[in-house]
Amino acid sequence: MATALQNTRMLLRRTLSVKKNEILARNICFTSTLKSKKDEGTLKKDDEAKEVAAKNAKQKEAKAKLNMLLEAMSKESQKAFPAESELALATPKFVKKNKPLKTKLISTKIDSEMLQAVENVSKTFSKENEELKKNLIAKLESITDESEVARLEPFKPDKQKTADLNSLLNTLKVDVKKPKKKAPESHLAAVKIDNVYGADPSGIFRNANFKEESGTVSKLTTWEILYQKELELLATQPPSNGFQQMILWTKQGKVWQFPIDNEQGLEEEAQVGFHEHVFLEPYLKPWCPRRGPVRHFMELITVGLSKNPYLTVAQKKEHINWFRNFFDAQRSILIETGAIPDVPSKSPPSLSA
Amino acid sequence: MATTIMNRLFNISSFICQNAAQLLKNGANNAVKLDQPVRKNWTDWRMIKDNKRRKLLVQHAPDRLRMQAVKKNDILPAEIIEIGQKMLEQLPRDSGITRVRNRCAITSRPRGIVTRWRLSRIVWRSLADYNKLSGVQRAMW
Repeated sequence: MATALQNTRMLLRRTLSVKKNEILARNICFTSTLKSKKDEGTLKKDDEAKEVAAKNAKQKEAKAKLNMLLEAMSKESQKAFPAESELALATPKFVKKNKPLKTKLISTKIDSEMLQAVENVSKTFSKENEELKKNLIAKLESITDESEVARLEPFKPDKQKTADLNSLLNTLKVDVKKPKKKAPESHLAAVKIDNVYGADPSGIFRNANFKEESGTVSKLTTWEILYQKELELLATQPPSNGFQQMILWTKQGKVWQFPIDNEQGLEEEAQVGFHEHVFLEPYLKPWCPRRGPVRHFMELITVGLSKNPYLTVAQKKEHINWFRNFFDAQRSILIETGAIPDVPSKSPPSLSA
Repeated sequence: MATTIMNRLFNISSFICQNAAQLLKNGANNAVKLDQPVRKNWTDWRMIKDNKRRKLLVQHAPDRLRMQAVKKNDILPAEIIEIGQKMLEQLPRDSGITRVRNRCAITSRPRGIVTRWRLSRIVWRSLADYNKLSGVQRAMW
């Protein structure tokens, strides 16, 4: 066994992680450089010489250490483990041709620690038991292969394994609750309904009397109205933007329609002819006297109404009817004053005889 | 320095005392002006009264027109005219058109109204400057 190998192993045992090694290496480098820089300017020549010699020795030691560490950290394990090649191992009788390339790559990926552990185990069991060692290494390699493959491929659940797991879990389940009684099979459930409205009516409610609310319930009318309004408000959403507002107004008929028609909304009134507006004398005929102040007055009224385009025909009729009622109420006064000829009339409503 | 702080404290406390009822209420009632007519949120009471008058005017307008026709007359006998006059007096006073005042729709200002927009000249001007009135432009010629 070479001393270098022993040294490397020793160092490996001490330093577990790569980072620590790096930190160590760095510290060694820096301390050596710092010390070298410091010493140059400050001390005397004699002291300098002594100290320089000491420093040089230390530097050499540090450099030796560094080199050894670097050798240990190198990934080419063939250098790190020359023992494998040196040992007189029996060549394997069977060569696995299934994985020709992978084996070489993966054998390097087994951690150095693992290999070390394997070697220790083989030693403890039986010294120079190469077969055991080889078996262990092969097992390790196969495991690493599997792990690599699994890592690269996406996970596919193994059906057999899941089935096994499920069966296992089922055996583990414990029924704590009492088993529920089966619901007594109802006769109704047995009936299968194909056509709901095709069958004959059952006549259950033939003799039923559905009583309405007896007596007058005091109604709160305002509350009812407000309740209805609230329901409407809840159902309809107010317009969230200008477009929706315009749509709503168009539907309500509030929006002008283009081209602008000044008589928009007065379509019914447009169908009424002018003769109905102008010729109002027929409405005077049944009741108004042909001469006298009353007639004069009513003629003025009708002239004014016929010239008015803003009233509907119904409104004009209402005006005339009101005057008719008014004069009818004041009939006695009219007769007294002599406005109406005092003649006992056959038809009382009419003012004219 | 101390006096101003005391003043502020006093103002705050007085405000709280005066409006304690409103402040204790839950909800967003505090947002509304406290001295404003609450029921319908018109600008002021004069606006409410004007609105009432307008409604009565619309309600009694035809009766009023007919009675006025009977009253303002020299053809009919005097007795009829007198009767017409009395009937007119029976109608509510607020149904008269002369009692209605064109107020500003926003500020309730009784004078300086731009009729077409029903706004006082001040409000009108502010809206026009912000381009809220269609077709209104600063005059320049």
